[in-house]
Amino acid sequence: MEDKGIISLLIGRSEQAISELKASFGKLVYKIAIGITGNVSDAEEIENDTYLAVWDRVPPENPDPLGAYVCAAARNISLKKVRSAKTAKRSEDLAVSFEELDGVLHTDELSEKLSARELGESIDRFLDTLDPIQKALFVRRYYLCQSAADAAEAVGISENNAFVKLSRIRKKLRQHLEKEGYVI
Amino acid sequence: MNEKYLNDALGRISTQNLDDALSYRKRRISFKAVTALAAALAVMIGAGVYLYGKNTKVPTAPSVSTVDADIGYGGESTPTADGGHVGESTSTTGGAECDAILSPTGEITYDGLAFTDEEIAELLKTNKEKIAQYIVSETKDLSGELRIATKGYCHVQAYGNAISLESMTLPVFTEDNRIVGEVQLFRFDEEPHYSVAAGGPSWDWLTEIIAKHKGEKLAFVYVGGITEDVIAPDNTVYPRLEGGDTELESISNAYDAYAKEENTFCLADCVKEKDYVSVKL
Repeated sequence: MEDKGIISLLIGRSEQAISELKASFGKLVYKIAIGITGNVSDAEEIENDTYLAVWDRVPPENPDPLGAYVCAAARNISLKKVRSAKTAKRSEDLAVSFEELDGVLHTDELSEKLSARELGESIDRFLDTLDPIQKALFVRRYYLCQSAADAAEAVGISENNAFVKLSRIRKKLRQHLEKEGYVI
Repeated sequence: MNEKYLNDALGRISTQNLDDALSYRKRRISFKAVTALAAALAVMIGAGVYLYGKNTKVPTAPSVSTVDADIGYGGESTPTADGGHVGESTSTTGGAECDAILSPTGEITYDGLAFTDEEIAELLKTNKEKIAQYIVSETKDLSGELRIATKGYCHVQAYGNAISLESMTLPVFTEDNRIVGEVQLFRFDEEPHYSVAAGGPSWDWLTEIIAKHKGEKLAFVYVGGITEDVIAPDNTVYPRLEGGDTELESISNAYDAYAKEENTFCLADCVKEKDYVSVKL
């Protein structure tokens, strides 16, 4: 079912919307959840929580595109789950993706110079400068916390090529932040 | 490491960028869509694009949606607002597929109806003033005359090693060999049509490459959906997108593999009046 159809079901409070959300986005939501938590039961729970979150917010919200909205919800719920766990319960992919970015951004020092919001806005501007493959790789690796292999597969390149591209992207991100005046 | 800070920052990524990223996936290229790729490329490089029909006929622009791109979250893919699809399945619909694998040793194949000299001459004769007008409006410091090459180049699609003969680029240059734009020829319902691209930094990029490889035939290659590489005879690969990288860099004999008469161009060959159509500014 197309996004508009699902939105209509949500607005009409039809429970079919949940099954349609699952049919359209279930695989991706699960991948995001498992990528961040590394835990099957948590991922299943997060998937359901994601649909409920969308159910609760639409309406009044009317997200367009719906896919990006669902992904953002799944990511937020997954990260909340990881944070709320007292143990170091998180996936290896999440940890490695953090380390990769932190190796470039040095977040402890950077956080003293600009807020998370400002950094996010700068990263968003940076994404606008990337070509489609680079943008897809960056988002999948660092936003959705997918493994390099999964991200590579999703954009149709080899894992080795993805590693090379991601390395260049991180280097460019650092240059971008320097160019914007955020000396790291 | 400040994970929360990093997460909060990444959470600021715009919906548009997120959707762009999710919508991108390995593309299975329909050879018939190469003209659409060219149009998309022209948009990407920040150039303005005019679409004109032959004479006064204005065609429906070849839609990028004819590119047979596919992913999909689950059993069915989900169209996005811009007509793309979001998801991760591998199903395809329509179009002649080719594997998304570089095949530098494979045979080059040809597809489509080539443009005749007469078609090009007629189209330029009818439209050269409009073409020049647009390029002037998008380009600083232009004077003298503009020259539109009458023999341009096609592109080989590295994913499948095919050259679409019905998509041809005619470089537009100045008397001092500065590339300032291009006319993209394509067919729609078998009729020749064109678009014009100008403005933005990519023309200086191409001018520099041509100057660096003066007198050499450069090969033009599409890699994947909408990226363009130029390969010099010494196998140096120049990706068109600023800061971009390319899978062709890892191929040691890229030029020999991809350079054919139909997808190579040498500006030094455009010296006689028959080699270009001039427009006084």
